[in-house]
Amino acid sequence: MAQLLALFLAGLALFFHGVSGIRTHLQGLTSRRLRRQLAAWSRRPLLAGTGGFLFGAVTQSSTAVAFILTSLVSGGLMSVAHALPIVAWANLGTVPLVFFASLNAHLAFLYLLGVAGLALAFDLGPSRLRPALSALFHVGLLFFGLQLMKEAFAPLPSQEGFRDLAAFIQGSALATFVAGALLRVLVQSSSAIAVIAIALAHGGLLSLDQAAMMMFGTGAGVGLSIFLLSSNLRGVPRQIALYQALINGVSGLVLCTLYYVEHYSGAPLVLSLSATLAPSPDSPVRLAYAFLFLQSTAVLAALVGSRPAAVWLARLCPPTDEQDLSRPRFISNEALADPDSALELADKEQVALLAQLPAQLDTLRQDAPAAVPPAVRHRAAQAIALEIQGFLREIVEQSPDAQASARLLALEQRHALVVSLTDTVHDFTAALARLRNPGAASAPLLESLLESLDTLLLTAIDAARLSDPEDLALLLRLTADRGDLMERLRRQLLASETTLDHARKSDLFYATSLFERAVWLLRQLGLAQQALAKPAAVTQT
Amino acid sequence: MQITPSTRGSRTVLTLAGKLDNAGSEQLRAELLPRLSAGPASVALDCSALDYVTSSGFRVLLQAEKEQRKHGGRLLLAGLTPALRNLSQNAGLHTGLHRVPDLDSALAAES
Repeated sequence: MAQLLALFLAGLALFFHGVSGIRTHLQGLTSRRLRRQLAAWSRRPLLAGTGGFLFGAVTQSSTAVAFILTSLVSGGLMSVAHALPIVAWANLGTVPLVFFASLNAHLAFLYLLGVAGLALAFDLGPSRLRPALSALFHVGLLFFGLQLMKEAFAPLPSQEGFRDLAAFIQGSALATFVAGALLRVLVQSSSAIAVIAIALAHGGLLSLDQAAMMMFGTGAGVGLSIFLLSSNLRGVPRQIALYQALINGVSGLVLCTLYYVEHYSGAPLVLSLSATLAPSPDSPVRLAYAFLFLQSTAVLAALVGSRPAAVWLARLCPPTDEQDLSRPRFISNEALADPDSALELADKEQVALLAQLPAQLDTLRQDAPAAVPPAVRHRAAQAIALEIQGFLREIVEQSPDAQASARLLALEQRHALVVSLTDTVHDFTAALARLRNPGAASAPLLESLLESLDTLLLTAIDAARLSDPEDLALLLRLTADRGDLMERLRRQLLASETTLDHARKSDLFYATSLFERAVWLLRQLGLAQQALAKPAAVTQT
Repeated sequence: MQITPSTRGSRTVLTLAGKLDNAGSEQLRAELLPRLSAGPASVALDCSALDYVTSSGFRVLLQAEKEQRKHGGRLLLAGLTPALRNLSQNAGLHTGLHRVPDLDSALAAES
């Protein structure tokens, strides 16, 4: 038993690690073409349905599909609205296994794990493929974890305790429903339990009714399982996980209710329909039909209730601050068709990213406590920067004309500066947060650095919006060489606190260096802005 | 923050007292910007009772200076306390502002 528990724990750990790894590495993928294809695929109902079905058939776990899709949504590859139908149809994809009981995806995932793992370990293939390889490796890891969990509980039917349990529940359909739900939590594959239920019925351990109820219990089990496995998810990805839990829970409970209605009223419902479709009482296909009805009900529940469920879930698990802030406001795949519009939107998105920076500094103000921690803001800014970078690369692929190309170059140059500035402002904020001590003699000087940088950022934002050419002139005037001023400031800082230890002196120097770098970057940004205002001049030089 | 307007010759003098922070900046912007279009030397700020200026305050001052320049003049910023003088100096923002030590002598020099 201890070995089984160890197997289960190892499987669970690999499963969680796989989910987290897929999310991390898909976020690192910069191929917006891949993202666009995935997004396009998910936007067509028929393709999304077919894809979901195939995905479910290959993975044999609609829960795993839901978790992979939560990873794609977290990585910004797909919207929730487009992910939900794929999740729903994945449930139906698990049915063929129960009918044919022969598909062994385990081997394929072991190959995937092995090939991707070896390629990563020996650094094989082009480096740009490493994020994709890492994501595939974690897909393999996820399924290896699921397989370990399945193997941990495979010997259960031969265990004495399990046989006692089977004897205890003999004759009770409700008990098998509960057992199906609990097993689903442990085994992570409804189709696997359905196959086990058919085997148990075939072996005479369960009646047909009990076996069917065990399958229906897996619906409720998916709900329980997802509640447990999604405990580390927040916001939008949690919406998808709960949606999967909800439609499966509803289908399990609906079929359980129908079973009792049929049992007590004699009305021909699910079991009668299965008997009609598979007349032979010994035929395992009859139970396979029961499983088909369970999964079809889940899809039906998804089709009927997806809109109200989406509203309810959005209210229950609103996007986190990071997810909200990570969403680009202007750029979109559709805009790529027209390079001029795409450039306009990329420009606006860059300015919006720049306009987020003063909020980093606001977190240092004592009179306005930070609603969003600086680290969260920074991660969100990095995510948007990555989106803009990918978007600009895609504009290059649209073969822009000479004028658009010049503007694109200027935007690329400005983007690199905005990204550096984002990192520098974040580091400066963190350094000042460490150094802050209102009573210290250096406090007024540090305050002046804070107010200065904030003012310069606000001026740079005005300049980037190009509403008034004077703003740009002002930015360039204010960011003119500050070498002497910074040297004087450093001397003042050190003179103001003579009792400082070396570590704090070093921190003070670091903060002033970051400030100096930020000012330099703002000046370069101003110069890049000039180039952006006159793209034709760039092509001539 | 308190803003008290008065007239000295051709200039409107706004005497500022308190802290020029977010709220104060909005207040000052509303008082200041409409007066800048009156002419090249229309407004002066008496900052002798001003305690502190945040970035939003500096931004309004810089914008006002910019507007005044458009009309061919400069915004007079008079009577900054040593602490505020240091603050603007250390922040490197003094190059964008026209600071004068004493309002009376600055106005007398103009006339």
